[in-house]
Amino acid sequence: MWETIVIQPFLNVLLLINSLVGNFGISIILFTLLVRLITHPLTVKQFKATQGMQQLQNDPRYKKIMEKYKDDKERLSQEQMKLYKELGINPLGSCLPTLIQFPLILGLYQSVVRAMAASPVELFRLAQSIYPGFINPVAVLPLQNRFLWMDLGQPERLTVFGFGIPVLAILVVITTFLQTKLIEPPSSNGGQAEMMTKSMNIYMPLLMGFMAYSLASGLALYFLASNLIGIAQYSILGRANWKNILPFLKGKETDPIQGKTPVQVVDVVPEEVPQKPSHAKTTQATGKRMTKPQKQRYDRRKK
Amino acid sequence: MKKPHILIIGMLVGLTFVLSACAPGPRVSGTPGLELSGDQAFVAYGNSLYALKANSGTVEWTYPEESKNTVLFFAQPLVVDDNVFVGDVAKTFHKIDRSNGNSVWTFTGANGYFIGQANEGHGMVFAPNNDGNLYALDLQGNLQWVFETQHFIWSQPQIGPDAVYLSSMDRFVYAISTDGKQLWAKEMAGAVVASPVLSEDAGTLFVGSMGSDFVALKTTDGQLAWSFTAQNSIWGQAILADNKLYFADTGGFLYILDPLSGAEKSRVEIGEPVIGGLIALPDGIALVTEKGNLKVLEFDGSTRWEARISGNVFQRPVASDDYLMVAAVDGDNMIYAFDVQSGAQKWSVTPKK
Repeated sequence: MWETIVIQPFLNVLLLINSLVGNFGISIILFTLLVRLITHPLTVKQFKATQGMQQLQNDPRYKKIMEKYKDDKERLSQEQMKLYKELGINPLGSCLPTLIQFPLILGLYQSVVRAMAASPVELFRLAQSIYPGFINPVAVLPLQNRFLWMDLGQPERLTVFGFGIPVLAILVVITTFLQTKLIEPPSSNGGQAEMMTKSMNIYMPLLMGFMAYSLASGLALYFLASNLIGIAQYSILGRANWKNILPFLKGKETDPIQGKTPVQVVDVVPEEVPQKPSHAKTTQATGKRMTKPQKQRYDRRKK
Repeated sequence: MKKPHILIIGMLVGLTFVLSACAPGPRVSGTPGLELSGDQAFVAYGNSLYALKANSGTVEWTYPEESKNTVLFFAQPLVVDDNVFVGDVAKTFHKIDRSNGNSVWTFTGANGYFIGQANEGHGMVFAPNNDGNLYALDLQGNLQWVFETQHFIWSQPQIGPDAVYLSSMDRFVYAISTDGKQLWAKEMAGAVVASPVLSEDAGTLFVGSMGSDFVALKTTDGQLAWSFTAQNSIWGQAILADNKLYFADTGGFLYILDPLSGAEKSRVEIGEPVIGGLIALPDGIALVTEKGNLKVLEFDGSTRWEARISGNVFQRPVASDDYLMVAAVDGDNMIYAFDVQSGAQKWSVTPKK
């Protein structure tokens, strides 16, 4: 089932690309790009939903519900659902696209592994996976595993003055770090989520670097391409927090969501407070925001 | 350690597990390499090389004594006199004492997996490698020369009086002088998995490719003597027996040709892909299909006996005067031994330490 629905189509497309460009390294890059483009709408949905959930955490009504029903889980969940409904937030909105994307990314990885057949049994099974008449297996198999200085079937090392330097692994560590840093939310409340994000920023690049160091360089190339495409994707979506890695940008605040210099937003308006029309930028998920003067008026009324 | 750190590490270890399940261990999968010599069978698979008693399948010794995860065997061993030669996918080529399984020497100068079977001649051992190189070692394990091709070498080099003949996945068949210089190269229609076959007078070399072409080449200059086109890809080694040339293809056909002219004498439908090739017996031929149908045929292609074994087979059978053995993967057992005359199964075993 998995083989028929995911691996086989992926493999055939990968081999088709290879038959067109004649270079497996470039084929991996183009194939990764293609899969990322196909899953782009899901990525957008996921970002939007995540963003909505993040902003919900700061909603006073949400905080109030959490505080009020902290000892009654059932009621808490009912009230949360009510609030989700009211604000038009789907709590599974960020999970579902991820759940759909994960098998595709795993399939992409597996098809790259499978295409680098390095033994007769692997090559025979690869040849059997090709759709009859789709491409000529004799013309494309076995794939040419040389790309730049690399043997794509072996871990990569660039020999400089007798030392084997794992260039790809280093690039994978750097780009994984950049990617995780760029999507790190600007919050600084010191909560558990933030601590987890910070831990992820350290461990994830190390893990990916280790894998790029020890696995075949074809896979390391895939990790690198995937990271670079991911960074480009976040930037295009305006989701990249460049100030996380370029601190001098902090003086020129950029809204990571809209990608534009925002009106200074300080809080989310609770539902019961009447509002005057505002020109402040709003977001799809949380809707209403206040500018500083509005906030001051609201605080005065509250008192 | 803080809770989030533990959680993150746990998640990443899980991710590593998932990804490494996609590309297990040394990132290559293979099949057992089996060789039969006298009263011993040698099986190279997984972390060990096993010496088995041919009459019972009992393990006599394993190499290395303590199996290591870094050593993984998929190549067919070569047995010469008192020694066993075999390469692994950790890029090491081993010479092992046949009597006790002790290492004599190792060669670690290759850059890829050893998948193809080595061969011996002219005082050297020729070890093909996935880095595209053929390594010529003297019998003490010292590198004599390296011959470079452009892709994996999965076939066994053939030793002629003045040259070594080699087929490569780069689609070429090469003749190499005994000091490592290329004498000639002939391009085939597809990658060449099959080992070439040298005729007895060493005047002609026969080989087929994944591109379905089967050729006879003059060993002196690589000129084409004749060519034949099969219906499907040719993966297995051909054999010369009873003045005929036999080979099979992945479409399940056995071809019987005249070795002098290439004229087709007969075509037998086997019905299943043949990957591992054929073997000559004193009074017939044997082959095994990828799906495990072992057949012993008369020289005219008619079936003498057949047996079905469990598993997939990628190597041709091996035979002695008494036994015919087959190595399989994904089956009930790994090694199956049959009485070569009657076809009665003698034993089957998955060797363990």
